[in-house]
Amino acid sequence: MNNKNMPFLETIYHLRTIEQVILYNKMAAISKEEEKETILFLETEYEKESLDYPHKAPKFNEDAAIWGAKMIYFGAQLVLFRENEISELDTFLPNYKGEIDASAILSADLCLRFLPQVIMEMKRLDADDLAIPILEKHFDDFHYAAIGFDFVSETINLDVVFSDDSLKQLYLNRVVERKAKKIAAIDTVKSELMAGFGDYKKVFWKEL
Amino acid sequence: MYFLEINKKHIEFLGAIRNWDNVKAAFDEQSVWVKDFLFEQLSAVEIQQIPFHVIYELKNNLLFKKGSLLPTKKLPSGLLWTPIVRALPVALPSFNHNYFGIDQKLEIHLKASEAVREPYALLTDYSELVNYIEKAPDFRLKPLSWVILEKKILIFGNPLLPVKGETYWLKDDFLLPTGYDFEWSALSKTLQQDLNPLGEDIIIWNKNNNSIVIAKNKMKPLSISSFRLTFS
Repeated sequence: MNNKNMPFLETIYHLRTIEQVILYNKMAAISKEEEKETILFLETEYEKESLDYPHKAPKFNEDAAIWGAKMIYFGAQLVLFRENEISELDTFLPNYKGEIDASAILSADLCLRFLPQVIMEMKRLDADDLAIPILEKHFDDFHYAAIGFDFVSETINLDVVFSDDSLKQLYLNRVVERKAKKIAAIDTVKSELMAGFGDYKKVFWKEL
Repeated sequence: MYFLEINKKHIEFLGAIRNWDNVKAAFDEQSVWVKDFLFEQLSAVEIQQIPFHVIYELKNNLLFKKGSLLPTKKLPSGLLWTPIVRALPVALPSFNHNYFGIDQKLEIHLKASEAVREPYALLTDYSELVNYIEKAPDFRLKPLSWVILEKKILIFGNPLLPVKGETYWLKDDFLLPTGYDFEWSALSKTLQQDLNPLGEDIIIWNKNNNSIVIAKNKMKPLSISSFRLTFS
């Protein structure tokens, strides 16, 4: 992909293909055209991924996908560059405006799943960084992306997750994959996990 | 704890169980004693076929005949236990110059086996599998691989899926129906070297003596997308 003048698209493309982010010298604004291209790219990525989703995969939600992409893009740039005041960060890192349903959670997750690692990197550099809580609070609603990381609160709301069969199973998969003890200890989650393990709990997750 | 007693003059009948490596044997003046059986071995065909044998259960240092409420005798003291393979050495017959039977052939069959084995493969069909796979947790699918055999689907790995089908266990790259083993079990390695010398294939051996050869590199990791792309 040769889009030298589309830093945002290029960053997201690299992230999705080789799981690396590119950092630039400044926080460039994102043009409408670039945003459109990125949405197209994310939609094909979503379609590829949803082949592996159990049950019927929810529809792609472009607002959520592009929001997630922006979070990781600006979040990653913030690791290095701080020309902006903290008060301005809210404009770069706004809350998600739309309805939070299974489709939004899964679409945003395409990019949002990489954000926890960025936050960990920020914490390593400066644990008191004021940008960290701004980023972390996004996971109150989008905790699917941050399963297994410390900053997932204990009082997460699982209603949305459990309302959709596909997301519910994906959520459980990720809990097992990342061995997220804290979430697995929640009663509803635990009983669903046990049902999935069948007779083989010892094979899949001995410590639980 | 169970013991088997047999008179010394019938010692050659023990040859049937000489390959059980957990079992130990000892001698006194009259008889041969055998111990350390696994529970399922006690009722195995191999034991039942031995003539003149008696099985005792040891309780409070007294030997009770199997199923009897009264003790029969005491276990002789001072028995020296050795693995049965060493207690019963094999003597090769001296060379027979008049033996002309070398063109004889063995026919390979399966026979029922008492030993419990972990199933390693599941033969099922699309209609059974589709209901499970499309809803399956990915941690159940990850350890498995699969291949399509005409109208059937064969899944390999452990633990297998909770789906109806026929199960097989793995021995020297042969998949044998669970509950069955080769009649000449010790020959499986030799068979493998004959049929599958490079170990590139897996051979399903069915009860009716049919076999199916599957190249190992045809097996693909099982996932929802792999399943959907195959049948879409």
